[in-house]
Amino acid sequence: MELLKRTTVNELAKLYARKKTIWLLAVALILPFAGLPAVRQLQDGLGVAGVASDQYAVTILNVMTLFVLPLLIFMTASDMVSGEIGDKTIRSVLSRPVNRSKIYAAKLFALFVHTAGLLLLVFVASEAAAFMLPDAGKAAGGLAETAVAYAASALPLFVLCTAAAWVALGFKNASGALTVCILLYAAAKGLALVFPDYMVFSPVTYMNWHQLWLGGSLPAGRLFAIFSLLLGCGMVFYTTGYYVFDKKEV
Amino acid sequence: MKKKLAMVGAGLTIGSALLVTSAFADIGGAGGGYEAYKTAVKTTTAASNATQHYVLSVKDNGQELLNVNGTLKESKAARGVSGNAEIATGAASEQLEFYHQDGTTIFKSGSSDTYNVATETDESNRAEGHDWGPEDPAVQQGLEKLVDALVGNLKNNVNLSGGTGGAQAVDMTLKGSQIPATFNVIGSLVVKEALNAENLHQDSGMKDTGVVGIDLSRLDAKLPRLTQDVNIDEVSLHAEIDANHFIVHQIVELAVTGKDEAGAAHRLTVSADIDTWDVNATTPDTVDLAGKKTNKIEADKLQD
Amino acid sequence: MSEAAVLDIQGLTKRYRNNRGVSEVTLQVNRGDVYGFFGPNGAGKSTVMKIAAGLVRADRGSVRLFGADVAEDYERAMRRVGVLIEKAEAFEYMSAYKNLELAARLYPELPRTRIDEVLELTGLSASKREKVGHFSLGMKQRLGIASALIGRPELLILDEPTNGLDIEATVDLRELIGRLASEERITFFLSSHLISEMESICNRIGIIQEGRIIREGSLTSLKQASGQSLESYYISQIRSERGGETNGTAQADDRQ
Repeated sequence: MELLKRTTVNELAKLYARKKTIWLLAVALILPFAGLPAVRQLQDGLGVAGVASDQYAVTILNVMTLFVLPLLIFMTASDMVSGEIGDKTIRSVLSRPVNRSKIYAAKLFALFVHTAGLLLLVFVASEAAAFMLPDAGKAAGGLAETAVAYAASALPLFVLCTAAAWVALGFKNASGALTVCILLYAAAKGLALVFPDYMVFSPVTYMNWHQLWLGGSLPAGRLFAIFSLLLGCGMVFYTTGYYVFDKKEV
Repeated sequence: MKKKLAMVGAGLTIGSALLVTSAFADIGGAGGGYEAYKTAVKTTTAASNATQHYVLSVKDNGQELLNVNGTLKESKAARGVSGNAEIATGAASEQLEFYHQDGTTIFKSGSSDTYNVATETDESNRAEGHDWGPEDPAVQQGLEKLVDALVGNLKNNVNLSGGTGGAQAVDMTLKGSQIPATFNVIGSLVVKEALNAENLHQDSGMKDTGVVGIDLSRLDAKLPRLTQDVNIDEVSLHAEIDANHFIVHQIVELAVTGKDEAGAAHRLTVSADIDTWDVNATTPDTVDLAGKKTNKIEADKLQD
Repeated sequence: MSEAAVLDIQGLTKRYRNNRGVSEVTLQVNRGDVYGFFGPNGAGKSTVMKIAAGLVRADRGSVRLFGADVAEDYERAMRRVGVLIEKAEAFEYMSAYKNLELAARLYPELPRTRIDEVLELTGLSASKREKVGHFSLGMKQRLGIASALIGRPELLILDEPTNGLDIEATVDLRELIGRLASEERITFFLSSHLISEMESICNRIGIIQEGRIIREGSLTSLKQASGQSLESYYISQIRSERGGETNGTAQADDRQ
């Protein structure tokens, strides 16, 4: 357990030693403010709330979970897995008295922690942005519910982490892995539009399941079904990923 | 080595078990409620006749501004409609009977004995014009796909609950940020424009409503003019579906918030509560005008 | 199998898809040895060392480090082992110190002063805050040694540690290995395709060619048996194994 913790700290240390990561964190912090002008235009110009200030943070989350956060996850996973396999730095990680099961777990934990950190950052930034809207008076309303939505949105993103790491295992350079991750994600999203019946088992369909946690009346059966699906997918990706990682010759 | 394999095996087993669980927990029915509702809408609209009781209500900050309730009997095959309505705005109320029979539309106010009769010369055209959905199944399927795609993940918010004897209930409530932003913006704009439409607030515009023999000016509903922060706050749907996939009871509610020019906050709720029965067993009532006071009105005025 | 063997390789066989690999490699490195593992490029030195370090899986055979099987009990096997395979691979966007910090974190009982100790030992103290991306090849290689040394290993597995180093750096490294062996009592299992570079510090030698060990023994016994310099002996062995396919010039080219 101690070693797992230390290995995870190492993965995070490597992640945050990169300038790129810091830049991307800054982007995630700024993006929620980028929606402000559009909403102000709606409110001042057209007189419709469009996105009321108490709903602003969730609207930002809708956009973030659809596209921005998956992209950031893909980038991180590609660097963490394909990048290290490609430049052989993975050797300096593997040839230590730490089992590969712990190393793979640490990489995913680090991805989870990073993703959770991103969500927290976006949450704080978009709530701050909401207070800059003309109807800021009610921005504080629904704060708890919004926090629940943000917390809930972590699960499909975590599953996406396991999937991204899984894909990245097959690549020896980060950009190749990133490209394929993006293409697969876009394809899964596209297929969901064309064959909605078949894509109910695709975890990508539930990137915005946090919306189900809003509005007071929780559809318990549906939440349970989606939770099982996401957790199941995550576990299958994780275990098969670990199996491949354990066999990997570097 | 065995430990590793055991770990991988356990992970895969539990993971797959969860996937299977999700399948049994009706994830395939994610949108099961939506599908049931869609089927019911198709079946119900395809019914050739039915009787409905409806209550429409508009409230502003909880105070009822407008209430319409009545019964409607409709038969597609007979091209006949009959019904009555009671329109109430606060203290004032008005009764109304109406019929559509033999190519004529007949209105009668509860406060008078006169039947106002409108003969529609272009009856056949209008009837077809109402069937705007092309019957071509390919086009219908395409439209259905489009609607499905637009509805997207909102399907997950449609809950299906089973009742006794094959009856089902469908519920959907979208609040605040659950309502897609585009829908909210467009919907808010439509509501705002509708509330600010000129004739709604010009009493004089309603004065010559003698066309149908009813003085609607008494019924000015005093709807607030919302000009700021117009927002669709809540949309909800409750539908009860019987074993034959007919919608027998349906409640639709829409809540809109906003501020008027004085800055006062309003919450407008519009609701429709519709009961349907006697599906395929309804014959619209007819009225025999012989010996009754009638007043011919020009059909084109009706279309305004 | 000797009781004192810190590294015990038995019947190691590994075949790659391109049909290269090693077969039936058996060798022991005893405590206190500086074991020189020599062979031409592509003979299978790296494969054996990668399997020994757990980076590659063997088809058959076993590797035990301090009695623990690498494939079964990796953490115990590697606890007292430091590894440098081919080229030192460090995270270029981090400083030397940060890189060593990553490594040090994986040995929970290690004092933080150990990082400065190995920096001092490898002569990198002055550049410890520099990003590794700016390091010369020699500095990177020394950082690789420092990183292998961080966990106070009793066995160092060094694959071609002098690869790409100039003559001065090579001599420095050789001296460092000699010092670590005599002062810190570290056992070495090191490979090179240049026998002359390492001959002077080794006490045991194995020669591998085309995936098979062709000679193994103590330096003195091999020298006595051949009655010539180890380099001449090595080349004559390799030529005889190849059946005179190659000549001396080809061998000389390999040194570049």
